[in-house]
Amino acid sequence: MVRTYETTFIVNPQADDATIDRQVRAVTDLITGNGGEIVHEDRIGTRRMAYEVAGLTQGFYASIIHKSETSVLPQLDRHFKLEEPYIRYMTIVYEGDIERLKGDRDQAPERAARPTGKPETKPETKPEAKPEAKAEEKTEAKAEEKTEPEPEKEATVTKSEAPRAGEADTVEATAETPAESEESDKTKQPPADEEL
Amino acid sequence: MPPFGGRRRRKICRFCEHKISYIDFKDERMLSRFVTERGKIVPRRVSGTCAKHQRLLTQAIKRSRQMAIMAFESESFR
Repeated sequence: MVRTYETTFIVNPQADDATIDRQVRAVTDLITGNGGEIVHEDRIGTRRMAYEVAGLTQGFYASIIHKSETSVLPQLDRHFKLEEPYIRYMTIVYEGDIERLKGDRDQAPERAARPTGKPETKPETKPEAKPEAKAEEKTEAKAEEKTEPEPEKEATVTKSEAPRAGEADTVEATAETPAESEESDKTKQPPADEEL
Repeated sequence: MPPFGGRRRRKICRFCEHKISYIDFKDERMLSRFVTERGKIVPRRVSGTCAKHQRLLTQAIKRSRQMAIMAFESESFR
């Protein structure tokens, strides 16, 4: 009977990349050699384990989703038990969406090429120079109140840097109102007894 | 019913809301939301999960514990 299984295993990460690759391929060859079909292969990579296993705190995780006969399972168990580099293994019946995995399979090489743990650096955008030039122009023309869609952001920046006299008064005025509002709120707040 | 007798918004099962039928045991980030600081599984009356998804969630958490993706018990509480 053919079923879809997911085999997840942990390999000792202290070995070379070539050795780890060989160990993962040994599992896939075992599956395909017994008439199975590999649906999705995911090499998650080296990650820290939640607890110590076989004296190791890190392990190389790999997951293989395959369609194979039930007779493959005892062979897989035997392979994992006898070979040394496999720390943990587990095979379950996969109940997820296989078609979605096939779409991810095309992205697997790109995901493997992505460096782990490093933030993706955003490319520098050229238009950054233009707003700076516009900000310089706006600082020169502060007296003129120009309303434009793009420079509005720079205009707010320039205002914070060099506030005008009129705006300072408004800031102070707004500062006063919260105190007044607090007093008004105190009068409006119901007594504690009424809340219960 | 909450003890104070006040109204409390009914929690919606996150998995039913997003129509998730399969919970991956390798997704530690998602599973850790349903586990306490000590590593214990949160009951569904607290998380708002429906019965069906709570069973799937419990199964996924136990599998992830077996594969050392999640801890059985958090070390900070020892």
